[in-house]
Amino acid sequence: LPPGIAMEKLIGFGLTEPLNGSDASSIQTRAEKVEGGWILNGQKRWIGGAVGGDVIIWAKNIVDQNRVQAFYVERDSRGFIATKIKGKYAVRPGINADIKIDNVFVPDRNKLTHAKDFATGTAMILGSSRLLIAWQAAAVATSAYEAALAYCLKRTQFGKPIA
Amino acid sequence: MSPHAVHLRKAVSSLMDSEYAHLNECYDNEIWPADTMAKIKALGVVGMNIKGYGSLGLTTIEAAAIAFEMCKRDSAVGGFFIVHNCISMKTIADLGDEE
Repeated sequence: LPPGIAMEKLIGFGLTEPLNGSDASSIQTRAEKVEGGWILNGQKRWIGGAVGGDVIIWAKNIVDQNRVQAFYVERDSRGFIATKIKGKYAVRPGINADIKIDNVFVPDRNKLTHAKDFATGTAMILGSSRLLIAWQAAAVATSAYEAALAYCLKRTQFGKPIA
Repeated sequence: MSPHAVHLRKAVSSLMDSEYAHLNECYDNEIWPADTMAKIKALGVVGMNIKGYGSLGLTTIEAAAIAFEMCKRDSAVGGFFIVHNCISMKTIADLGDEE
């Protein structure tokens, strides 16, 4: 956390996949136990901040009944390739990434201990984050309203202001 | 909101206003505004509602009000800030352990 708070490390949240967005509990990325850690395989898409940053990858743990659990993947891990998605219609400066996870080794210490399953781990985080995301949507709506209002107050047609 | 959080919200709002033309240029050209992020960091708001570890430990409302000011001028900057602080680091804070 201290390097994150110092912004020496940027950290993405790797849940969404090409075939699983709102149906997040059905993700297909897999984690397999090996000596000293885990091997991850799969894909992620739309992951914010993932180009040049580390990413928390959510994966099904195949040795724990395919429960969805969390693994902290450092950006320079072998087999971890994050590519910036270009040509977006909105949020254009954002560095959302397509991620390929090909036999990426994650040491035991980088597995988040208390992320035991989707309901008590992933969903709990999503629940608290929705409050913030709702404010994001409200901010965009407010900004659009204020821009439209400013325009209407200075626009004239037929020789008089339209508002 | 605490007086300090109100001050931070105003500081973020003022910074985002002064960065607005630059942010629009970044929007048009799909460029990540790393320089603006550095200025936000300098305001001391990183960490948001994370407790401990040098973070401010803001309440959810305080963090949301500050994120609102960022998102109002640039949803990419604000969205990233929410993900980095209030989703990713919160995952580590809530679901990780000291090791």
